[in-house]
Amino acid sequence: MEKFTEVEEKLLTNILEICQIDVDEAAGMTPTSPLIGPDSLLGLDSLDAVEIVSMIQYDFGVRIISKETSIEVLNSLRSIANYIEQNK
Amino acid sequence: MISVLGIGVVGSFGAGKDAFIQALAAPNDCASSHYISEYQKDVEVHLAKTEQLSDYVPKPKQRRMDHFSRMFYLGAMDAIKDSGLTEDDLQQYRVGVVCATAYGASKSSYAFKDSINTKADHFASPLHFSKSVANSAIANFMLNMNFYGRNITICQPQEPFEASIEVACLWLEQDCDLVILVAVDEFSAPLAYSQERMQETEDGLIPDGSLGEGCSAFILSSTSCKEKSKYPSMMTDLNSTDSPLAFLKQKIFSYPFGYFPTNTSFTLMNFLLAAEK
Repeated sequence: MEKFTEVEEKLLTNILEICQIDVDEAAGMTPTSPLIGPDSLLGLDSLDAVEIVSMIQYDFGVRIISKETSIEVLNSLRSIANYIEQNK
Repeated sequence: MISVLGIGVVGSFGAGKDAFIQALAAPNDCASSHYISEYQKDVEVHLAKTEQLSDYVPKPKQRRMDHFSRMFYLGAMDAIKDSGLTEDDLQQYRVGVVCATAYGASKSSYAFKDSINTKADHFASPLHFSKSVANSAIANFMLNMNFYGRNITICQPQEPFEASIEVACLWLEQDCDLVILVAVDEFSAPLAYSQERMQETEDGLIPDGSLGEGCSAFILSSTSCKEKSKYPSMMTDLNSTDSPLAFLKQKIFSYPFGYFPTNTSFTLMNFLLAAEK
């Protein structure tokens, strides 16, 4: 089982809260699980993506500037954590 | 004439007319205490229980439904169940849906406003926005039930249930065979604050005591619908003494499940339950 970093754990907690998902439903999540789209374990979609982009900017001070970047960045908790690390 | 085919109810006692009757017969204090930061005070509130919604909607599908929509959906489904109509039966009829509410999905509306006020314009929450739209509860319900008929949310602080009955009667006389009429209001801290202020200024209009939230739903049918009713019929002529509005003029007995604006609808429900065949 892959281990979560501190940032990844915080991201998961925030995402569960803003997208109103029970903690139990995230039991199978790993840092590299698909986050958004049909393969998402949490069932997140584009509306959730907007909330997540907003949360990343507000809580981590990092702005995702384009649609292309966001598709890549929002792939998994790990890709978001890496983007935050590289851009803060 | 209007026939009432089924009724549904949601409150602090749970969901369903049996739970409602049982709670009336043996009142059990389901109120809980809530701290209202606006005036730094605890208030007693009867919060509605909606866990039974899982009987009708799979859990993943409930994620985009806020508490207001959950109460609405559960009340409406409970009324459909009480009517004995199946989803296939309903598809044969021209079904309209009317939602009566004083303040709508106030929790989501305030959460959306707060997302802007506490952060900034560009942090406005699309999720809270989608839930705060006036007709969102009906939209959730109609999309899941594959209904494509008339629908409206009547959101007004004064007599929303009475106004909704007028609309339902009009639709039943014109182009609906069935109207699902749902009265619903939810508790939120700003509303508790404003109700307390209104108690200070409007004598007797809003009673003292605990606040509440809940939903009552009625499946109304016109003469064009051949389904049998177990409840007494009423007149669509709203000036008649047998109209639903006439029953509402009888003052509600009390507020055993806390006060909320649309619980005048409980008066009509009490009458129907007492006269159930």
